[in-house]
Amino acid sequence: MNRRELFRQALLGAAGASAAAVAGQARVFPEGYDASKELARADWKPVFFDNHQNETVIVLSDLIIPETETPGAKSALANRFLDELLAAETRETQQSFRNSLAYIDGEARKRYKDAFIHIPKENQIEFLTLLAYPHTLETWGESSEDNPGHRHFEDLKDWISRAFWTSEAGMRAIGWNGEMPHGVFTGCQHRDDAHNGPETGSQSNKG
Amino acid sequence: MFADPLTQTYDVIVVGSGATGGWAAKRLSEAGIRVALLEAGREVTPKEFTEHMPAFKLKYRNVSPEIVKTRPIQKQCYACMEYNYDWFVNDLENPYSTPKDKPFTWQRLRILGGRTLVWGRQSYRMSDLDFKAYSHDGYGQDWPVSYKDIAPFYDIVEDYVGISGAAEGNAALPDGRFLPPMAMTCGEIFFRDRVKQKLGRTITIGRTAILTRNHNGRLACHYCGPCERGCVTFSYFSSPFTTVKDALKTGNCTLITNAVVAHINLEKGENRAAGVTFVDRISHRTKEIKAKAVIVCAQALESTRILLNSRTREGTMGLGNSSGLLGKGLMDHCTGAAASGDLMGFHETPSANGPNRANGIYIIRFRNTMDSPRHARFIRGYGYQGSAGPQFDFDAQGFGGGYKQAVVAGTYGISVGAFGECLARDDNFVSIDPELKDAWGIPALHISMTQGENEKAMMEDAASAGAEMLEAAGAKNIRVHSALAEPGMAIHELGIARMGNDPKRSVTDQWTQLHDVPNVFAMDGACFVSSACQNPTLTMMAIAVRSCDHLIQRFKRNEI
Repeated sequence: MNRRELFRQALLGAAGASAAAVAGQARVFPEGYDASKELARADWKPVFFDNHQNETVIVLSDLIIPETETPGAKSALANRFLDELLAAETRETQQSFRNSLAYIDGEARKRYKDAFIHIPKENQIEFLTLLAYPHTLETWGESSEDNPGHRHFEDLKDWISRAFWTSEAGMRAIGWNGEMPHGVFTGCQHRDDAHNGPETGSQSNKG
Repeated sequence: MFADPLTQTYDVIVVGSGATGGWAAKRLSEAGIRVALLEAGREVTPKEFTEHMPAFKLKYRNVSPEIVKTRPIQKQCYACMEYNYDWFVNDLENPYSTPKDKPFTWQRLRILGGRTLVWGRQSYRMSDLDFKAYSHDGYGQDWPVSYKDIAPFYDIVEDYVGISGAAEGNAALPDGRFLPPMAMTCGEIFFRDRVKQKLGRTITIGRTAILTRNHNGRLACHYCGPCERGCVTFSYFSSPFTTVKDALKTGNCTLITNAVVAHINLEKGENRAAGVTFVDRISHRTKEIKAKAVIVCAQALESTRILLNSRTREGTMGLGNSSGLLGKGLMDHCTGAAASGDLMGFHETPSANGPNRANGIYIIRFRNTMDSPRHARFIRGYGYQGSAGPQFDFDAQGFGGGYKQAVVAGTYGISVGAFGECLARDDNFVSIDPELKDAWGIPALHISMTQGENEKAMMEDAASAGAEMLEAAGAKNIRVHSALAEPGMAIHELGIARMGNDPKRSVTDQWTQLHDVPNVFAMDGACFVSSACQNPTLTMMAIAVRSCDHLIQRFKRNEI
C-alpha cells in the first residue's frame, strides 16, 4: 500500500471524506475536516489499549492535568487520542508505554495492595508525588538513587501532556480564542530607554 | 491545436523550479528566450495550504507516525509534518548512500517551487570577507567574483522578493534594499543593547523574505506564524507564486512537471548539450527534450548527480569533470552550538493568539572579521539566529493544578543557535553509487561528508560565546550545547561544482558555465566556492540572475 492509500484510508476512517488520492495530484484536506470529532463519538472503543489500560490512562490524565477553571485532560479525551496515536506507533514505543503503565500498577499493588485505579485518590496523589521529581538531591553526600519510577512518570506525563495541550480544550486553556493568530507583530511598545535599567530588563515604564 | 511540449524547440531547459530555477525561468523568458522549465514534482495549489488549520483537526496532531514509514530522513526537518509531508520526497523512492560512519541528512522536496515552499526565509548578503576569504586567511580559493560584481544583482533580487530588515552598516554583513524591519520584543532589545555595551557585538532583527508591507502585488504578512505550511496571502517568498508565475505569464516558458531528469545529452560527436533525458514520475516512461542550452538548478546535490550521471563526448561519466573536482568540496553550514536561558525582570505572559513573528534576531559574525583579531583555534566565523520572549512552560515540573498553572504562566526565555562556515575539503564528496538506483531507475548519489576540526572548534567557541552574551544580559538557568549536528541538518548544501577562473581548479566559470561544455550551467548552490556563514539562498538567487543576464547577452550575440 502506498502512502496516498494510507492517507486516503486515514481520511475515510476519520471523517468519511476523501482527499485527492491520485498520484500526481495535490493532497487537499476537505472543507471542514476535523479528525478530533471522531474521538468524541458515543460508540468509541479503544483499539490499542485494553479496558484496564484505558481506565488507567483516564485516571492518570485526570490527576496530571485536572479540571481547574479550565477543563482537564480527562474531558479533553486524552486517552482516546493516545489510543489512536499509539496504535500507529512503532512496537518499541508501544511496548515502552505499556511498560510504564505496568510499572505504575505493579508498584501500586506492592504499596497499596491494589491496581492504581482502585486505590484511594489520596494514595494515588501520594504515590505520583514520589515519582514526579528527580531524586538527585545531595543532602547526605553522594546521590545515586536509582529511580525508574521518575522515568516512567515523565514518559506518561509527556504523552498525556502532548494529548492535552494539542487538543482544542488544551489550546483554549492556554488562552486560544478560536481564531488563527493574526494581526501585526508590534513587539516592544516601551520608551526607547525603558530597558536600560541597571539590573534587569524591567518593563515598568509602560507607554 | 495541442502541441506536444516535448517536440517543441526550446532555447533553454531549466531543471528545477525552486529559488534559482524560478529566477532563471523568469529572467530568460522575460528577455524573449524560450524556456522549458522541468520540475520533478507536481504542481502546487494554495488549496493545500494549511497554515490556518489548528493541529487538533489532524488525526495525529501533526506528529504523524505515518511519516516515519515513508520519510524517516525527511521527518528530521522541522518543516516536514502531517500537514504537508507529501511535499517532501518519499525516502523509499529516493535513496542515497553514505559510508556507515558518516551519516548525512539530505532533506529535499519534489514539488513546484521546491524548498522555497518551506524555507527558513533568512536572507543575508555575503561580503568580500566571504568572496575573498582565501586572500584573508589563505585557506581554499577566492571566488572569481567580488562583492561589487554581485551587489547590483542582490539589489534586483531584493527589490523583487521583498526582504524586511534593518541597515546596520556592518562590513561583515552588507546592508540591502530592505522593506521595514519586523519589531523586536522587549527582551530582544534589552539583549541587543547589553551585548553591544559589554561586548561590542551587533544584533539586528532577522532579514527575512517576508513582506512587512504590500509589495509587488503580494500582501503584507498577517503574522499567523507557520509559513512552512503555505501562505494564502503569498507574503513570504516562494517561487511558484512569484518568479515561476511571471515566467509563465510571458508565454515563453513551458512548465513540465513530474519530469525526473536523469542526465544531459550531448549533440552526437560534439561537445555541446542537445537536451536532457527524463523519466515521467507517474508513468515511469523515459522521454527526451531538446534545447540550445541546459541549466541545472535542482539544488547542489541533485544538480551534481545529474552532471555525474551524464556522459562526455568521449563517453566517460561525469559531464564537466575534466578537473576531477565535480562532486568534491561538499559544504553544509555547521550547526549544533546553542545557548538558552531565562531573562529576568520581564513579566509579559505568552499568548496563544499571536500575532506570531516567523522571524528572530540575528547576531552578526564577530570572529575573524576584517577588524577583529584572528582566533587561535579556527578560521572563518559564525552568526546566530535567536529570539527572546514569553513562552509557555511545557517543561514545568510536577503534576496537577500547579503544573497546569505553571505551563500557562510561562517563562521569559532567550535562545541563540549558531550557523558556522564549513570549509570546502575535497575529502567531502559525492559520487554515483555503483549499485543503488531510485524508483525511476536513475543511479543514486553516494554522499561522504564529515565536519572537521575547524568546524568543531568553531562550534565550541560559539557555545561559550553564546553563554557569554546571555550572561551579559543577566540571564539565568543558562544551558549550552556545543556538539556538531549531523552534516545536512543546516539544509544549506553548497559547492561540488565550484566556480573559478582556472579550469584545472574549478568546474564552472564565474557565469556558472561548465568550463568543459559551453552550453551547460550549474546555477544553484553547487557553484559556491566557500560557504560563508550566511544563509545562502539570497546569494544563490543573485548569482543566478547575474548568470542569466550574461547568457541573454550571449543569445543576443548568437553565441549559443
